[in-house]
Amino acid sequence: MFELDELAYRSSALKWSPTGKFLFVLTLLISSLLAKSMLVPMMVLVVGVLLLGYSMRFRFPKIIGIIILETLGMIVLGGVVIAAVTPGLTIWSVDLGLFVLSFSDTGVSTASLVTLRALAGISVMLFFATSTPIPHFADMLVRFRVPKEFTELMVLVYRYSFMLLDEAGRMHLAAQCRLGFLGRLNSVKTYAKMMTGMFIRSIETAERSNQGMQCRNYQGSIGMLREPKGMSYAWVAICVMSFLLLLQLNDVCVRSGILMG
Amino acid sequence: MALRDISLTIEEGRKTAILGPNGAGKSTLFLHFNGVFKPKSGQMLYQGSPLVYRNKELSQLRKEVAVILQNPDDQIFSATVEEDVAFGPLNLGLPRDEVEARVDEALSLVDLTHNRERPSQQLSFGQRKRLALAGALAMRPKVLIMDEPTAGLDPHMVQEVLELTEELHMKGITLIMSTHEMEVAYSWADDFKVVHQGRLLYSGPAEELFANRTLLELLGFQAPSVYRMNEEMHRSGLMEREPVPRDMTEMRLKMCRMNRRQVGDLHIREVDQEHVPAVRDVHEMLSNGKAVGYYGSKAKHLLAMTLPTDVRLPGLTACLDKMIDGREAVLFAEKDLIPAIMHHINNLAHRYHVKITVVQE
Repeated sequence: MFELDELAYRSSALKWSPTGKFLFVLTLLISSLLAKSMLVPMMVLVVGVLLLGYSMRFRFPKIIGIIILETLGMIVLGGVVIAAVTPGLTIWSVDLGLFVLSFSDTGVSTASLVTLRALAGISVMLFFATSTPIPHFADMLVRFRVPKEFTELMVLVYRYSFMLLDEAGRMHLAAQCRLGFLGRLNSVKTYAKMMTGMFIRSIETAERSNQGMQCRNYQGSIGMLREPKGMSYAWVAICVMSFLLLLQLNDVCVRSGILMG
Repeated sequence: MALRDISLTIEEGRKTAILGPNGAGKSTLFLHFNGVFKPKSGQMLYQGSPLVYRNKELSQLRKEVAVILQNPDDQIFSATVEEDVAFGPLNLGLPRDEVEARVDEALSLVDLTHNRERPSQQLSFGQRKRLALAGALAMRPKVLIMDEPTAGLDPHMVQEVLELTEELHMKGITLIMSTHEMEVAYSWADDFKVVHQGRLLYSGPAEELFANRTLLELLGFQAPSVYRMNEEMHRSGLMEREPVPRDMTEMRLKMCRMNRRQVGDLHIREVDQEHVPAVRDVHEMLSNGKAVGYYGSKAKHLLAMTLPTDVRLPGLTACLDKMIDGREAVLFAEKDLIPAIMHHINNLAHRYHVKITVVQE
């Protein structure tokens, strides 16, 4: 969480309009989902990876690698299951003793399409997540007429979640220093105490923060000094053109039977 | 902690230290000062009028009486530094330009201008303390109440915070500070108040408090080391009791008089956007054995922009220390603060009967 937040604030695409970014990512996602040809999700994947690279100045930190590997594991597993359970002409099979695992031609095509769509989706969403801090995201929601009560709560939860993590870290360290995790039963007891402690401290923090807000003349809503860039016509044009281009590409591929899923 | 039978007056334009052990009721008292808490009986007065606990009046009061809580995390709500400083002014409904100006000014005062776009959770504890201070300063208060502002800070940072409060005081802000650090309180405050178990136990000059051993023992406090040293030297017949020095610099000035030692001259140089000293000049001064320092956040900011990062100039107290060693000192300060600096130096010279030549350049 800390790393992703830091990445978002250091991103080259930080100053881009969050609404624009969100709509562009959504356009790419929808295009990828609507496509029957694998070429479209492939294109979206390339765009997503390039955007992600630009956002992070082509220096991929460890956390991004971990996220990609974790999701890749799930996607590949899902793909294998789809390829195995979809009926069709068997193209490859293996006898596992208790059962025979067969992959059909339709299954492999569908699994490839789904896997590519998922990868494309992850790359573009990762670009959005690593270039848009939560307060910018909240500002975007305000522009979409989401109630202020919800967005302000979101920003406060975001701010306080760091404090909660800090507090949990301190409590964990304190417990460790006093042999709180010596033995399994002891560890369970310590974790239970930590949870109770966290609950009590959260209430205390909420009370003190309320006083802090009153000291600073809180009037019921949190204003923003520097609002992120709003939506421009350029973003709308980019989204519409990308959608039409990918749709056209899909049509051509369907008609010519190129890389069909 | 509940407060009982407490009656005290804070004088305008003074620096008041509120002392008391943990749980004495200092923080509770502070939250009464700006109307967050309402007394069950009795009344709070501000500028002679009782507080009115209605939104509009409370808003006006909190605009003028700013409280900085002990833990900076309790009053930092926004995700980035500048957004957090703007929190108060935006709540006042000020126009954007005015908010921008106040944010710039407050960040420059606490030396956080270069961190303005950083997420607040990425700041160090000391920086978060300064951010909380900037948030309060952006309200341009008449009274600034600080709950243990130096707690958890390193000595350099403590010095910086104290110098900043000194500057604010020179600009006419009434200051109230709670602290456990007797040395800090003694060197800083004009008035002392002691709170214990929700009651006011003492109000008056520091020296009278230190003379009351029973009270000190009850509170578990010790008189500051410089005070005790002065008492001990007086008892041993090494020096007169008066004037009682407030910190080690003053003690050294007192000793200068005893030893008839010459104090170095002080050259005060005006600094502003047009008169920023050249790096070469500063290096030359330093290589000539002169002590070079600054006074005020503006001077500090301008010098920091010009000088290389390895050249870290000290404040007025450090310059004074070097002058006591007999060295000449050059102090950069903004024009508005020069009369106050000269007044301060003249006061010291008069108090300790030493000759300090101040040249304004």
